[in-house]
Amino acid sequence: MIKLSNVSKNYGSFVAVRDISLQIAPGSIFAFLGINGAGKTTTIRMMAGILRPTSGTISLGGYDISTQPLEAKQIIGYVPDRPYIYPKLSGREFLYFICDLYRVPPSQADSNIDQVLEEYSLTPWQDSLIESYSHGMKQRIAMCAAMVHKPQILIVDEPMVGLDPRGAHDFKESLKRYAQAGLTVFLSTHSLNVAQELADHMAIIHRGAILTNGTFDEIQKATGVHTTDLEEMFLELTASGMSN
Amino acid sequence: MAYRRSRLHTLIPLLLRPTLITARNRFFPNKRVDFRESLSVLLTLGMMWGLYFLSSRMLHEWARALNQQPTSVAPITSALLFGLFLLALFSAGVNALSSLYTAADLDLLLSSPITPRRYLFGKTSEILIATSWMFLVFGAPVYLSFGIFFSAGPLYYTCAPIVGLTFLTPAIILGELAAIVLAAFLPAYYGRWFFASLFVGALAFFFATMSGHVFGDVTEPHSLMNQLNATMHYQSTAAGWSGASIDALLNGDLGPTVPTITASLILVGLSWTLLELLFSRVFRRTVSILQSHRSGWNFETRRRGIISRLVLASTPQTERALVTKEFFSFSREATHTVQLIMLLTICVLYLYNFSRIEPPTRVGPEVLRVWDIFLILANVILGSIVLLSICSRFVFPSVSLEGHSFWILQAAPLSIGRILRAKYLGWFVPTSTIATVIFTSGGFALGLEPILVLATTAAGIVICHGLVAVGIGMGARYARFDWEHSAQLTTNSGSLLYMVSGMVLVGINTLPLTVTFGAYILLPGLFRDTLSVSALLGAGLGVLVLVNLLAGYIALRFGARALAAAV
Repeated sequence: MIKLSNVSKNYGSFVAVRDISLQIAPGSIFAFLGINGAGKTTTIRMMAGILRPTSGTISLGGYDISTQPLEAKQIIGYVPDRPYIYPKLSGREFLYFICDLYRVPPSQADSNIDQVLEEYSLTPWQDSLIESYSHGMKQRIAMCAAMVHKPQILIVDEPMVGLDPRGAHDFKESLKRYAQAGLTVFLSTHSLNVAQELADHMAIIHRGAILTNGTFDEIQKATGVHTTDLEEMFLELTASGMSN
Repeated sequence: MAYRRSRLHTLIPLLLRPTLITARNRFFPNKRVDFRESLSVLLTLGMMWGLYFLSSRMLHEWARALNQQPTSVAPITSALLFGLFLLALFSAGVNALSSLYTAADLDLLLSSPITPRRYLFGKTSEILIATSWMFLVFGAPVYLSFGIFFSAGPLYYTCAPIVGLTFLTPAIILGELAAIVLAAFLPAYYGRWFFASLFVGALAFFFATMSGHVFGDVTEPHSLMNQLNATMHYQSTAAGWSGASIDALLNGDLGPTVPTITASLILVGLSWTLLELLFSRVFRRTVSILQSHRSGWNFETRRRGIISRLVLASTPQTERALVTKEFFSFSREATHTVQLIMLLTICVLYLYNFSRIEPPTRVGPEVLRVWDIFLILANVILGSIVLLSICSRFVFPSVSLEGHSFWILQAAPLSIGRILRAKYLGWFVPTSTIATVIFTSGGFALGLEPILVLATTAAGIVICHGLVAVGIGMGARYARFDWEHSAQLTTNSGSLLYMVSGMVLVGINTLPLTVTFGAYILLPGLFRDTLSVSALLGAGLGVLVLVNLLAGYIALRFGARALAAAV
């Protein structure tokens, strides 16, 4: 369960995120949509415990990220939009490092690593230094790192950037499997077709505030925008949001 | 802050503009002066004033001891300039390695329509600034104090900086040249093995000469060193000419200034031509080699994971992970390895010089006792300075070296304090090993009693704790994750403040040690039996432990708070 209550983030006088409240049920895929600079990454970085909210609370699996950061971080997996990873470690060494950070028992670490490497087709490159990886491979090793400690919540920022069609397809399939297995997925994306295909619920953020929130049908009803195409709906909502 | 093009911009080399604008924006983000950066500037100015005060005091004491104004300072200025030359050479070499080959803007610049000559000029200017501003901070107060003490005229104030600049510029170019040769002919993968072999060879040479196996007679290398010293005598070297020029300028006379500047400019021209020639021939090839070596590294890492778990079996899982990651990242970065080998070579030279020191002859036993105290303290202070230079190169930047990957630690379930403690653990073990080698070998080279060797080694390890903890704490306080290449981290204001703080800590540590060793040597009647000696040394070391624990605790806590607040 993810719960954001009246979360705001200010940088001096600039309000990056304005009074956001969201509630996401366990085992669901939630898509967080918005144009560039809308506040998606700031929200996600607050959820991952990297940024502190100026006000409001974020609860992950019942743990408040501000007051119980270690417990909250223990149950999440996070993939940033630009996954900078230690270039001088091999893929496998990096995953060992992550397992130790999240206190995965050593007896279990190898099998977890083998499983995620296989899932993201990185087994042949596991012993190469990460600096030799392509952008897509770095994205995939970041996904491996997010999943290797078997989190309850997965927070992913712009996952499709740099992935080839095969990688993107595999990624979507894996998200579906995770959700079926009970994992809560919080997904920020520009790819509206991905959101429409995968998400149970979605929210559109604009200028730091939530424009609308719910299932696709609920958003249709609430906003009065009658279209079956999310892209059309998104463009119309953000355009009206801009004019407001 | 808006970037406005002005006529002034056209005077700055194109490739230098981003560096200068970045520096300006660090001080004036959002059109207001940044408090943290301003504090650094104020502290740096304070340190410059301290240096000015100390060097003025030293000149006055010297004049008092001589009962007259010193007639010539050429040996001192030559020695200072020679030291600065070596420092510039080393710093420029390290800076050039990261700036030319691993900088974040490499792909952008190589794909832009700029000539290799322009690229080289821009990068050299960047290296010149990164390398030389520390000399400005350290050199300007000394330059002013000499000028004021000798009541120098305008000739000194206008010409001496030109002498200094023309003397140090070839060092920068030669350092860059060395980096290009190193990268071209010893690519990163092999370079560290080459340097490791060189270091092992130097170490073997050191121990062989100590035991007389190389020359049969230990006096022979001594005479060899004397010959070297004679060759480097101040009158017959560039440092000597420059030092003599400054000496003449202090007395209101041009002396050898014009020929010295001319010779230095010729050297600049020649070394630049050589640099350009070499650069145009090998740079692209070297970049390609470095790129291909990157993807060529492949090994079985499953076994390595098991090995690290076995070696660090008693360490908590999180700390073990951080230490292992730190070790792998460090050992695979060519610029780090080269710096480490160079610093370890300095350690060997330091120990060699200590082994050659001989006590003064024809003096009474009282003077010899004071000489012994001086040697013990010199061993501790100089050894600590060597440790400080190792820490300022590696320990201080270790937090910032996380770079853009810091999000991994931020998102992980561990506190900032724990990250810093793991960093401390990872660096204390190797630096304390180096400290043990330095202080033990230094003690034996000086011919100290075993109990004093043990005490100085223990003191060295305790000081090492203080330096490493303060280094990690201040590194966290002045963490900068947006660096373009790693050499920038050791030339920023935070690094300078760390060096000053480290020197202050070493100075504070010297006080209880002076009392302890002074009492042991000057009052032999009081400290005869094992119990009283142990009590004395134990008390001295106890004070040292308290001082360093406190310094480390404050620095780590202060650093953790600052880092947590900064994110």
